[in-house]
Amino acid sequence: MSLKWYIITRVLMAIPMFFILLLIIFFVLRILPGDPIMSMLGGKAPMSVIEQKKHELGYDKPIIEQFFIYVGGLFRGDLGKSALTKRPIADEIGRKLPATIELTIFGFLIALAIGIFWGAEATRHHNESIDVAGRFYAIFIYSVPVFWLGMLFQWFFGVQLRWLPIAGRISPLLRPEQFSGLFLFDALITWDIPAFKDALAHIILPGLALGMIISSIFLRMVRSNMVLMLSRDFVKAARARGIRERSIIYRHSLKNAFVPIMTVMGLQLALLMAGAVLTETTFSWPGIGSYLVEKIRYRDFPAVQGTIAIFALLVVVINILVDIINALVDPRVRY
Amino acid sequence: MELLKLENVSVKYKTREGRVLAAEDVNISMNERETLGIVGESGCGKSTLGNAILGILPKETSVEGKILFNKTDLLSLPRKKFRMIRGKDISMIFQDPMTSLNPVMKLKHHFIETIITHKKVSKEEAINMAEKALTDVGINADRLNDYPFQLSGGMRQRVMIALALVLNPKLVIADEPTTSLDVIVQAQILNILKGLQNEYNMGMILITHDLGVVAEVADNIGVMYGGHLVEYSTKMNIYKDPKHPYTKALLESIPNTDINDRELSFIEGYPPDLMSVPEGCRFSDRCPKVMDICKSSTPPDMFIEENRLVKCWLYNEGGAKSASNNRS
Amino acid sequence: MKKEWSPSYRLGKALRRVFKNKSGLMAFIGFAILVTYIIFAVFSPYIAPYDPTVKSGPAYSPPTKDHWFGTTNLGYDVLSRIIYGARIALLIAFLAVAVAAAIGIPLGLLSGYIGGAFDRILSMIMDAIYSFPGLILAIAIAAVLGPGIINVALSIAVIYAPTYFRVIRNQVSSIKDDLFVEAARAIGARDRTILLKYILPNVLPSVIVVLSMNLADAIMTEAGLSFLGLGIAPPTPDWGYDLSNGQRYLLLNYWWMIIFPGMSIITVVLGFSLFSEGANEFLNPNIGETRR
Repeated sequence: MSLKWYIITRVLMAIPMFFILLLIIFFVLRILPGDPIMSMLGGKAPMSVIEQKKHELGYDKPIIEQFFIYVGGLFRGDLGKSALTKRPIADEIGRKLPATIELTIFGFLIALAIGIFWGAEATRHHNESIDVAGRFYAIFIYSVPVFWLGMLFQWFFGVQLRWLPIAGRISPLLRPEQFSGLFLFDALITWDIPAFKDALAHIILPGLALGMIISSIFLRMVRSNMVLMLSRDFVKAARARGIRERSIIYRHSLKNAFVPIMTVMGLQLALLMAGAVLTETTFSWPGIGSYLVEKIRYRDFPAVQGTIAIFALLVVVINILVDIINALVDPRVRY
Repeated sequence: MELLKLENVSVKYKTREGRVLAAEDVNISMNERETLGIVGESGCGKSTLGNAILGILPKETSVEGKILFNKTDLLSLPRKKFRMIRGKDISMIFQDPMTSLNPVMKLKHHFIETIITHKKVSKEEAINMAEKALTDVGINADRLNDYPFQLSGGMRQRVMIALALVLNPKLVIADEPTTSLDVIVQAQILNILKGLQNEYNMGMILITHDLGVVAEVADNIGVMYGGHLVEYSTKMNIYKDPKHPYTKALLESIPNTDINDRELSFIEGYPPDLMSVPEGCRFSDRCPKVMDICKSSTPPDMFIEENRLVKCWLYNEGGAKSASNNRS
Repeated sequence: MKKEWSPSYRLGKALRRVFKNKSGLMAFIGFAILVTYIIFAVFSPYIAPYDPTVKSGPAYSPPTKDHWFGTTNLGYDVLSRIIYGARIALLIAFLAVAVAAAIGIPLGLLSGYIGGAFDRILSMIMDAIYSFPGLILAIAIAAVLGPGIINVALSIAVIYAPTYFRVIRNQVSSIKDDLFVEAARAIGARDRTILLKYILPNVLPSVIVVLSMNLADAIMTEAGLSFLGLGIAPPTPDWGYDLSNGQRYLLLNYWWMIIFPGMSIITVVLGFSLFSEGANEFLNPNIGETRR
């Protein structure tokens, strides 16, 4: 099968998954006991106000119809209007999304760097100090809440040392000209060095906190899969040909361990996004995570639903991407 | 000219449960261009020995004794120097061609990587060498761009041979090179190996449990049992006049088309567990000619003729006398 | 009675094995941490030096002799809040995991046993939930249900049910055609009997490891929810809430308000992970290497 067909089938397979996720979200937010309208209005509103509100939001239609109206809107890029700001939710989320993407990519790269290098070196020096330290690190970091690690960084690097800013994405006056909305990227292509430095200073602490938390799982995954690979015949055969240990680790084992590692990393995506919500809240990072928390605080349920649908979309899209990357790395996946 | 000499080579593994003595005090030597067959049942330490010569045993293993290759002791070489010998001067062909190639690397890169590790040549030259090596084993050179999974088992084994021989090693160790292949392919592979050995003047160690295979290609044969080299001699001697009771039993247990009336025999009992080897001769509890001394002390390596070794008390001076004490 | 059979001899031997073995030691340390926190939770009124919801000293006091871990902005004793906080954390975690198992295991059994379209649809739903960021789903559910111990536990249970479902379903579908099940069917056992007497006992052990790992995750999720203000209503002592409260005073350098509640979350989660990891490796030494 060619890569093109693989991608097409993979995308088609993802559609029911996305649909089910939407259904679950819809179910949770509309059907569960606990009336969103009531909690939006504070519980003591007169009946007429409630009815009017319901009509306004389309909540008085049959539930199935509501779902299809919602899904239909979603495919047109229409998530409805915020109950609070009355602005289109899609616009609001669109403006917040790049911040989240930038933070998660940054965190993911940090996690990847820690996970791959430490994991590979731990495999190479099996049961030596770097390996044992890695195992302790992985178990310990797994137990640390990301928001606590973030606060610790804020306190130490921000309050004590005063090295780095502890909130926000960029200093207001330095905002770079926007193309992608990813400040680091935009500042780089417009060669806006002050903006780049400022954006980097802002992203380091949240990115590091998020990245370190995820890195514990990556480190374990890389290590256990590579240890497994090192016992394979082709590694022995490569050793018998006098191949350098470094190539054996990074070229033979890592590349083969890549597919299971990527698959697990795809699953860890959920953790990355959950971590992003907490990290954004901790660092007042203006992404969709802190948007979600803010909307929940104000009981703006249409916006909450829209945000979660976007998270679902992200999950599905990134899972597809992971599979495509796997197919590129390991030709067997395609065949 | 002597190519390889093993002096008192012992291999010990450490496992969670204890120490395993996989090979003990093995003495054997071979000349250039010679084919040495090493035979024995699975778990007798023959593969361990092959891996020990190449220095590719796991870290937890200790190898004692001397492995002299062209008069240099491989075991005392610094790690890097030893590594540079592997694949260049000594190379290895493994049992399972299906798993011995890296599944996510094109064949091309297996060759380039190996050649460039050992020789200062350009990528193009390396590819030329690879193409020549592949043609030598009868595979079309444009297969270099294939992934291993696109090849059949027999083809992969030929690729493994090409990969092992691409740098013209002086010694190639073939560890059960035909075991996982079907019979027709087996013969083909053996022919290729033998032909290339003559063409490139290599020594070859053929490790196998298959006496038929060694009968075809070996010059000399070493028989291993329970980590000991129990008998070593020329092919003729081993087949026509085996000395060690284990060798005899082993030969009787192979089906032979020449002698149809002979009943196929088998050796009673099981090979020793290398975790807890018995005192004395390892074969003593299965040996039809066991004597008291066999149970208490290990027989020494006895050269009963020039270049003919038997590790058995029966051939000790006075051994024949004590043979009357045996229980059978 | 033979010496080897006496319980004290066997216990002694088992203990020696536990301490000689690294993973055994790990499990023991984890267990010790857990026991400590369970004692904190059960006997908090006797252990805590102060009432955690009453002003017991000056506000913003750093650690002193009277208040080992300092006080909060309202003058609550941080140490007492941590000890009482173990109640909420453990209660919600155990409740959530119990509910998750109670949903996931029966559904997994049925789905794996019945197979067909039922299985496919249920598996798809469970996989969808499994792949979705748990905390975000829990946030949504908790937001709709409102605060409270039961509600928070339910929101967490929903996101962990698929874990049990998957483990059980996959095992059931792989063993349901095994000989011993066939044999039971051949002698005319009813489906119910086969499921409960033949299949369940065979698949249940694999849940144990998941269980203790999930408890760790549930505590994390609970802390996350209450950090976001979706947990238990203040002033009930709750580590996650205390952290978010403490963050507001970070700029003033009141570090004790975040360090100590955070450390308690870490230690209890660490306790569960060490215990499950150690126990898993200790009990299945062969699987251990690949799982690590």
